[in-house]
Amino acid sequence: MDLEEIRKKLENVFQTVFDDEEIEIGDATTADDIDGWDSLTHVQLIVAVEEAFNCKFSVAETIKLKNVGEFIRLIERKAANA
Amino acid sequence: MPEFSIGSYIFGGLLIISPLLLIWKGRQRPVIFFLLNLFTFIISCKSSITLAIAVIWVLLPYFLAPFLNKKGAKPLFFTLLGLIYIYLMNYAWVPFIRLLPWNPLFKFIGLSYFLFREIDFVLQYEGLREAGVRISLIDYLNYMLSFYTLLAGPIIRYEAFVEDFYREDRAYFSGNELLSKLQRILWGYLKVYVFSALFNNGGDYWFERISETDAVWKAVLYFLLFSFFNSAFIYFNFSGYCDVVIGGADLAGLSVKENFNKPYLAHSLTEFWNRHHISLSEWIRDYIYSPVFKALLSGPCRKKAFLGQCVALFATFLIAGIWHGTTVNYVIYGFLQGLGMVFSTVRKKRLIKKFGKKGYREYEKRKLVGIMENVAVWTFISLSFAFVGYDLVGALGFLVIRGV
Repeated sequence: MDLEEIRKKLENVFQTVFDDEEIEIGDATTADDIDGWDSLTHVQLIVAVEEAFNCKFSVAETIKLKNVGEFIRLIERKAANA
Repeated sequence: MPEFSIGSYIFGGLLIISPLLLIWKGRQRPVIFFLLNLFTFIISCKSSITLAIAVIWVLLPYFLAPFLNKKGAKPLFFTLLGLIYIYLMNYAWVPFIRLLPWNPLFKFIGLSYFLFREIDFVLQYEGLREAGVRISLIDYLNYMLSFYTLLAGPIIRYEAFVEDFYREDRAYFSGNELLSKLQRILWGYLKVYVFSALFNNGGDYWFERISETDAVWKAVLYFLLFSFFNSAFIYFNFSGYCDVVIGGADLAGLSVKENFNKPYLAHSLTEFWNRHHISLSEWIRDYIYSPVFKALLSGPCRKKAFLGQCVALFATFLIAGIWHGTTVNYVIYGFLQGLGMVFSTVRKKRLIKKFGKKGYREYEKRKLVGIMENVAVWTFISLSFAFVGYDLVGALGFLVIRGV
């Protein structure tokens, strides 16, 4: 799966978790850009991503993420190691 | 042993000496900082027994971390760490504590904050190694024992500490910058020794009146007055302390995380905890709320995410409350914070359901709504903070016994 495919699939997960089909994500997207993405809903997003991409993230990995670009690269690494 | 606090001569002396860290570079720098930290750590221990226990407590996670990557090792380690912590702190309401011999000398300054740093180090260890973050005994000890944050935080993370300590873009500051850092320290001392002292006196005064009164309405009035004085005391005391240590570290070219951002301007409890004791809020979010919520979402709350979120929030704030102190007052404090957070989250969900996301944002912008929310947050926080630092349960029990 290349980065663009990961981005598209991740966008679908975002739309489902935040109940908004108009959400579009890019590398620079952060929690400030998406309505409802706060520290409380972040875990829901992580679990939904784990299910969608069939991988597991540790606490250490998820708390370091600064934007969607880093998230996509983390998913790519996980998928490559799976 | 001399007392160690931000008002002690020793801390004052360290504040004056430590800017020399800006001059010392290379290998000398961590060694000199370590010597300052070691000196502070030793003088803060009440006896050789205290020092011996503290040394074991601090060193154990460093030497065990490389061996904790096997399945089940970390949960076992954290359970043992938690039990030893409860024992050393002497939690009065935990049954097994009463059965074990305990001595006040077992407790040492920084014990509760060491726990946070140790958990962060152990949980991050593998990631730190993979990312090539510098891990050495001297860096670990400086992270654990930094005299700036020894007393009461703010809670720092290992990676952030090491990155900051070894950053090379550190520049000497101008006269104006020096004045602004000194001004912050002075303002911090003013908050602690003038404002917080005044509110503390007021809090003490009204707290004593509660148990002396013979009428319920008077007890309620005195309780309200005590609560507001006490919450103001907590804010000025803790944020003042943070101003001193953040400003002091800044003088030595070190960054200590900001811990307060006008918390009493918050419009919800969630916002309050993102503005008050920020380093603790972020730590409990990452290391309690997230794993608990994740476990619930992957198990019993798979189809009930909102319920899982509420349970995780309640558990997180209850645990954080219990961490704050050893008496049953802190259990009630944690329970109230947990309930408050759940209420705040349910209310937000209901309002979004009623008005829609856009409508909710408009609703929140209304001036009257903002004022009402702010007053409600302030009142709730003051009433729940009444259980912090005072034996409110004892005072209320005394009133009941007297038949008021």
